[in-house]
Amino acid sequence: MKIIFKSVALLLLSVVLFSCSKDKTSPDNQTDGNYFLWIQVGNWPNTAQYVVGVNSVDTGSVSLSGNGREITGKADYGIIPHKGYYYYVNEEEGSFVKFELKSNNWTAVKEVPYVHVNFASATYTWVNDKTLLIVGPNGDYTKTLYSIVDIETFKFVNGELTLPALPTGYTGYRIGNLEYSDGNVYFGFNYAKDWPDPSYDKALFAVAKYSSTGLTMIGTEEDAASAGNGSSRLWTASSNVDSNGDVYMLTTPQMVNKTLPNVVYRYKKGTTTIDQSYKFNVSAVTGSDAIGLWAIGNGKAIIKYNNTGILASNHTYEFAIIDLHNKTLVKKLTDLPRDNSDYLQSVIVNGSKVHIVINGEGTNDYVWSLNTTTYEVTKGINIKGDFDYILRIDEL
Amino acid sequence: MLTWNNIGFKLQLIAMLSFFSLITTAQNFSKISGQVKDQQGSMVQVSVQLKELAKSTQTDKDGKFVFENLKAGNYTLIVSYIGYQTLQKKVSVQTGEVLNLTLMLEESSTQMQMVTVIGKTKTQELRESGFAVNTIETKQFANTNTNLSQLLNKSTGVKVREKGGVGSDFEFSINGLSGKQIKFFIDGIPLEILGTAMSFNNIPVNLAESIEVYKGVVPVSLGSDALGGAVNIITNRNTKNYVDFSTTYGSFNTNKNALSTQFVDKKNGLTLRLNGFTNYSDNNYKMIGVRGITGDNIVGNKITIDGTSEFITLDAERFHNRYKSAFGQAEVGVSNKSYADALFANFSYTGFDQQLQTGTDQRNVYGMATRHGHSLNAGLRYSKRNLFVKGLDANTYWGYSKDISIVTDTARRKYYWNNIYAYSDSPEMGSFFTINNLTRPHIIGRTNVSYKINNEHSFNLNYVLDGVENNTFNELVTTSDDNPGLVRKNIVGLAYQQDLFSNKWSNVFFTKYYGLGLKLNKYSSATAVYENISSSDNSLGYGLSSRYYVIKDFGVKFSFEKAYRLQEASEMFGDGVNTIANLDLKPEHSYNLNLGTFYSKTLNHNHQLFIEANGFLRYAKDFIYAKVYQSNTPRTIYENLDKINISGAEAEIRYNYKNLLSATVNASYQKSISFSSANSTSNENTYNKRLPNQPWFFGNADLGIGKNDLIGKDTRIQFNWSTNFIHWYYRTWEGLGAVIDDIPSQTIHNASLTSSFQKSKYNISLECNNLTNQLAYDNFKLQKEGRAFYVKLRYFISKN
Repeated sequence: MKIIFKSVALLLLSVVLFSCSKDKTSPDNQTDGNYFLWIQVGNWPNTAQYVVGVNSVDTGSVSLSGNGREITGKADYGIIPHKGYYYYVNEEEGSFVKFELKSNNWTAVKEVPYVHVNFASATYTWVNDKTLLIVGPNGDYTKTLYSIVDIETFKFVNGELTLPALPTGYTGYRIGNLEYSDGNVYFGFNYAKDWPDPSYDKALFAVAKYSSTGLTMIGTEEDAASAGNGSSRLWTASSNVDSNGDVYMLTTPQMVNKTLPNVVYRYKKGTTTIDQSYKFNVSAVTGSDAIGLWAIGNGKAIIKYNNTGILASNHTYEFAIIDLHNKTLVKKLTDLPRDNSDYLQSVIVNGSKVHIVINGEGTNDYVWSLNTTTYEVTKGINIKGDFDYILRIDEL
Repeated sequence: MLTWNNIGFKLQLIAMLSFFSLITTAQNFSKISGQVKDQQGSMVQVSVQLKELAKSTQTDKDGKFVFENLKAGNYTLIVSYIGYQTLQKKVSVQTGEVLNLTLMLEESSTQMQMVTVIGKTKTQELRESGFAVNTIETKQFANTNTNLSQLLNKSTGVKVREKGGVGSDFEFSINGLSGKQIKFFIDGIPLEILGTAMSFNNIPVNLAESIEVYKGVVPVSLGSDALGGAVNIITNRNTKNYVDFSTTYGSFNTNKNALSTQFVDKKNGLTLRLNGFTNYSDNNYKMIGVRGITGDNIVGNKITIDGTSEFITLDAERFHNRYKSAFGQAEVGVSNKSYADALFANFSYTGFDQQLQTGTDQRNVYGMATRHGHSLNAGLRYSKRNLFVKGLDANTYWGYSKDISIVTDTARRKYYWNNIYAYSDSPEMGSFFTINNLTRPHIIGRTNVSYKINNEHSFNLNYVLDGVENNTFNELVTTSDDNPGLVRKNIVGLAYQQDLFSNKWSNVFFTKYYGLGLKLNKYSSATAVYENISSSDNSLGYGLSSRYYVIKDFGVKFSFEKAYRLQEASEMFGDGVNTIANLDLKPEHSYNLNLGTFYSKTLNHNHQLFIEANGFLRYAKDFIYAKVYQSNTPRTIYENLDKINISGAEAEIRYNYKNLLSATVNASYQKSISFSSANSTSNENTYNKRLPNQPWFFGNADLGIGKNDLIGKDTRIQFNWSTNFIHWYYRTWEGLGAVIDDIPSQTIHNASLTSSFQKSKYNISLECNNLTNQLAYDNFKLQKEGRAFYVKLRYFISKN
């Protein structure tokens, strides 16, 4: 009998001992910086997204151990960074939120009801420092909607843009590149079919007149040299306006037609039709599929592309400098390790400071800085934790 | 080095050696046989125990039993059956003598009602088998408003987490494994055959006689790819005439009815059995501290969002949460014939209709989305003992069903918790407006053959064919699925059981073969046509269970299985665009180990004590999960990348005193550690960390006090109290982030009071759940019901 009770008691005791107290780790590298890194950990269904702030991305290291804030369900990394804050549409809750990450606290500074654009499939641009323009489809992609948001007063102007009717067999619109320049709004779009049929195999562009009370369509045009609508700035930039006010837009035809190249198109400042004298076949200079484009000044831009020749690893994404004005490859940044993911906000540009975050093979996870004169790269902060997915970097 | 592979090899070796040492000797042994009767005649399935040898058996269809190969001596026979007074009889047997006894049982004063069963019931026997198993006799809960999942949630190692309310989605876990890794059966047949509405949180307790929960190691008779364990509902298989009807009313406009009845023509054995239930609830319980919307521009319950619109925090009733379901089954056939012990045909219908109130997170409010469906099933079962030769028992079942479920998500509305909505150009649930149809023709065949060589050695062979076609399409876009996935599983199990040293040591060695065939039409973007692709896979699992009585009433048990969960068509073939095919996908597998001990003691026939404690290990590899790149990339691929180790312990103490008092206390602890990485060359920060969103310490206490004849002859008053505790657990990854978000600890109390009249013919029960009105949560902090009251009326009559 004694043996029995002893063994039962031992088991019960071990149950009690194992159920130890909460080990809420105290933060040892907590920072309140201007730089923010977004990281995803775990496998489905246990994936979680974290944001962590750092003062500098040039040296040191950062980890999530007792540091950073889990934001799964509160926000997603398809988000709008702007001057110290993040702006986000929470479609599940039907709200427009202004967030702040301070002392590892992710706080909703202001939150108002908002239901209009299908945000996860939308894109945005800034008309000026306090005016945000969001353009995107409705839920079933049959309409193209926009919201002009005054981020100081939280006043919204919601409307709809009328694009050409969907050609027969096509069921929805997709919106990609979006830019504002000199009173005009420029965007790339596409006609999509139901899965699994491919989308429309020409590049489509639209121009609308901007006013604070709403947008008015000016016109659309298509070009057979490429296809695809570019990517959404919420996730990855693929368009920009240079210091002259000219608009550059990269098309991303990979999901539509694998034989068509990536092409950068241009609208000269103040014009409403594509500059037919300018078409930059980016695929020809990199030999691969480009997915993102970030202007770094002086007509130069960083492009992120998928080196489809690499089969042995899922780290296939490389970076290169291109000259948009002269339509040339400046340099492939071969000193950088290869990244493992495609449509991400990987590059931040602040004047002459350019940083690139790369999720390299193994523990080779760093933020790199780029010298915009020599195009040399330098290893900066180390992201410790061997994460599978580094989602985005922002400087607020 | 000791690895899992060579442990497996050694176990196989032990199994083979035991098999070859199978030597049976027939000496001058004695025999005790007999027949058990009541006033109506012979009684079947009565438990007969030989106290001194801790041997037990059950009476056959003629009420007969036999204990063979006995040494000469004095023995005590204990004969027990629910609703009857237990009989103890001392007998003496000489060398070579054959005793033949007639034993009469008398009905106890409380029929089918909290009866203290002395001697070992079938469920108790199972508890004392080598398997790690929870067995629950449902009769004692027959007067309560409980469903099977609530009942199981109170047993060790089991956690059922619901979205909230009658009929809501739930996740059932056994020792930390859940979802597709747990399989459900009804009398050994996969439960899926009866349709979507026949889920555990729907089935009233009155439809089952007992429930068995096998943890990690599953006997071959439950033929399926159950990686983490299996649950088997045992329905009433006696040959009595009975009617069991109950109706429940309660909070949130809840009404449940259940009927279970059987008519047997004693002359020709013709039997008609009818089972059915209906469930209805508005589930409109109150949500505390949720978000509503207000503003100047509200007409009816539609708001036009403008500058005056703002959020408010309030307590609000759930407004789109109604659930109704129905099940009806007719079984007709014959029993106790020379050609068949049972030959039955059955037909059943299940239907459900459900309003959906929230997404996985309660911040995502729906007001229009619905789900409904129905299923039709027909089946045939046959069983025969001593087929061709003595000791060869066989049974077989073949069934077909067609299950349809439809999810409707077409509303252009965004709802807030105060039942106000704004116009939205997006659907409520998904990305596209859908009326999503899922149609599944399903065929299941099962044949089980057992052969008992003698009292010490027996074999069991089980075969299951499970074929299902998944047709999914959006009714708004198309009228059929161009791309249905076909899954065909052939599962064969063979077990050899030995009961050595007068049943002191019992071993089961088994092996299972899993054959998988998959077919899918896959869209090829290269050729722009659908191509038919198929795949097949074979896996071999094995295991053993062993129980040894160290002393009388005290035993130790051990069980082990290398278990599999087969991949599904959608996981393997993808959908051509968003999900990339992975033809190298392998089944998931796990090495499951249980080590337990139990002590069972009856004192003066009045005090019954049962203590059990178990430790377990699960080493699950090659878990299949969707490798989602990021939420903006539509591409996913299913890979065998997850690795999880689970270790834990659980203990339960049960005590009964006569018919007066019953008490149960149990506690379960489990630690699930992730060893996964999406990147095969490195280990992420989550490596070697506790899996989030998994309760890891929980316990239950039940107390029942009842008295017969207190308010008149043939009456019984019964009071039950139960407390359920869940320790706080991580909502997200431990150690990551400055603030750890957790689901707080919860303690929920329930109480019920039952009065029974005329030997439990009429019963009335009052019940209060969540007595202290605690804020209760489950997954992702979804709020569950607060305090709720129910009244249940039950009529029960049984005749031979």
